[in-house]
Amino acid sequence: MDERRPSDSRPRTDADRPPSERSREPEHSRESERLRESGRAAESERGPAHEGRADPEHGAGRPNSVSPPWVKRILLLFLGISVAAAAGSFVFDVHGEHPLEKFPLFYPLYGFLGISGLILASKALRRLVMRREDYYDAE
Amino acid sequence: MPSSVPPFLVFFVGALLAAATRGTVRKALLVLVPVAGALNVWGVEEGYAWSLEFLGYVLEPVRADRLSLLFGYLFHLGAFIAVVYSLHLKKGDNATVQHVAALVYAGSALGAVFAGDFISLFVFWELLAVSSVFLIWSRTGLRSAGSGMRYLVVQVVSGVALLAGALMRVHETGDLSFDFVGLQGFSGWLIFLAIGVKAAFPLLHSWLIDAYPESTPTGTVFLSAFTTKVAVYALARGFPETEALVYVGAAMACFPIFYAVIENDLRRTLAYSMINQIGFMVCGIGVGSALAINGAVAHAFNDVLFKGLLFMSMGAVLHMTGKTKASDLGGLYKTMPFTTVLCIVGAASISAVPLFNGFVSKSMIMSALIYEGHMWIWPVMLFASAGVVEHAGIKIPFFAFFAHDSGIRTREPPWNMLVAMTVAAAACVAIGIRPGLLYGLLPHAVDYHPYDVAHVLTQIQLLAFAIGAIVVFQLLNAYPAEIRAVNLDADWFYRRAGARVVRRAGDALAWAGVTFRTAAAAVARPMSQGAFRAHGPRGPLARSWPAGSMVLWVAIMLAALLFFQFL
Repeated sequence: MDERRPSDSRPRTDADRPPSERSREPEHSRESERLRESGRAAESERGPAHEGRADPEHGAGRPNSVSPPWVKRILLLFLGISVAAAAGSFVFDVHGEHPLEKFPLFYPLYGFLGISGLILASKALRRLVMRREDYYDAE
Repeated sequence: MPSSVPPFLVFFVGALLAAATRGTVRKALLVLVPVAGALNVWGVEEGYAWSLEFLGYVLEPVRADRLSLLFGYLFHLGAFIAVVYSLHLKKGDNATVQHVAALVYAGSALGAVFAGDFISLFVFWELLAVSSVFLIWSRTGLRSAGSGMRYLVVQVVSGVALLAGALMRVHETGDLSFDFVGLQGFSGWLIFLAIGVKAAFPLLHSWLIDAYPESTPTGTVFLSAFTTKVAVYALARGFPETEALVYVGAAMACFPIFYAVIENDLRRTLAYSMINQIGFMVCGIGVGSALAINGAVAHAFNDVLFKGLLFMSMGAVLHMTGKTKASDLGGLYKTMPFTTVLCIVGAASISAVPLFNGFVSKSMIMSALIYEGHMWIWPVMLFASAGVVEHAGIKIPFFAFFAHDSGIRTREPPWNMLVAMTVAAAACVAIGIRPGLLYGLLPHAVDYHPYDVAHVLTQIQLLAFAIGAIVVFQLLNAYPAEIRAVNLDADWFYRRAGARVVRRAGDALAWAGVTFRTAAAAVARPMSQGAFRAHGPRGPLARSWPAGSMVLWVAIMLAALLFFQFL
């Protein structure tokens, strides 16, 4: 899978709005636009039981944008498996128990389209329900 | 079956001893308790019962049949893995509280699945809540304190509903025993909802999302094993073949996967994933055929293993780095290779990859849906299966161990964590390769073969192309980025809306109080001023009068009296 993560490209607006403005949030989904990347400072006091043993010398060096060479190989292998699996439908008798299974290549299509729909719907859901990280701490 | 003691007793005694011991002795004891318990429960046979009479009612605190025994074995296995996982805890981690609470919690779960009557069930039901909340509070901090309190309130309400429903049922039928209940009458619905809270039915689920990720790394592993599985057991006992459960289960399997895609906290993603998996079990119980019930409880068994494994791997990451957010993690495979591999085993198991245990139990539920004619629910559950691959199969390992390198360089977790994860992973693979190990324990006789060409091939197709979709979205940079944020869920209604209503109501009351006092003062002040004028220090009625004038007035009054007398 792609090793490069895009840093979020949306505009960053001011994260620290006065509390008076925050109180109306639930009705307004536009709030979600404002909180990208906000609250980075709010990593907050809740120290986990074991404070990080992360090596500080290597810290904070994101993003490391070079994909290791094996990523491409794994993706190719995966592509091969997918194609072979799809081709299997024409070799073996995949006796359908459900009417939908009679459809040629039902499973590959359902898996691909289902997850695509899931991801797109989730992005839409974000607009509706996403709030700043300290949303519940604010009051 | 006189040689065995009630299964919960082993754990309760163990908890007492654990409270009294320290150090190596306690560690040995902790490992010994689930092992001794397992040996004990191995001796319990079907039909074993222990009953006693209490206030004129016959209670049956222990009753064993194939269903309760299966959960009994499962809870011993789950407790063993979780106990080993928590052996490293030290004084600074609230070790005593966590260890004791965990043993009481596991014992209560055992008590609940072996309880033969509603009163015993209620007692263990509440004990589950009261003991487990300490696993949440042990992670000190305001957030865990708040989460734990909300968790406790919800769980106790569930218990009260169970008790109310049970008492009404006793009044109606005169029968205390916990067997098939069904959705008959108000009492049936109350019991249904009480169990529904613990099973995290949609809209009753947010305690799980709220509290589990706020627990300690080790506490979450215990939490994930017991509470919801007790609820699944109770549904299988009290509400098999209840059609509503098919739809409730389908809803549970579907809605969390959308949240799981966008959740940043990886342990919270797993909590959503948990509801999704319970959805499969609930759906199977609703279908109610022998195959479906078998599939549901087999899936509960497997879920304790693979969900425990995933929670353990994320707990190991949290323990070593102090972080569980996707936005903070990445690249950990370089320094935690064993944990990475074990996490991937868990991810493959929950995704129902053939040769892993999720496959052998989930296929039973899917097949049963078709055999029993739920043609519209089957595609819904198939979509939910594909969704599992997305969030638990790919997202969890990818964002924690691969993705962009976060720069964090750490080490493998303590040996006991690795051992616990290895045991769970081995069990996942063993059941996946030899389903007979699990099938032999199921409540109904099994004649089911998951490994035929059609099943395996179609499952691989579904998974491969579901993953393919994720790869495509990643390559196009269109996959939802990790963003630090919270996502509103049903708990908004009591954390925000409810809180606001209460606050507004408080404000209104305060306003009414002030208004009333002002109005009352406006009426009372002239009266008090008048009284003050008459009776105050300078008031005419407060003056001192000479005795002579008194006599004069008396004389005048007597004269007036005489006058009127003779008139």
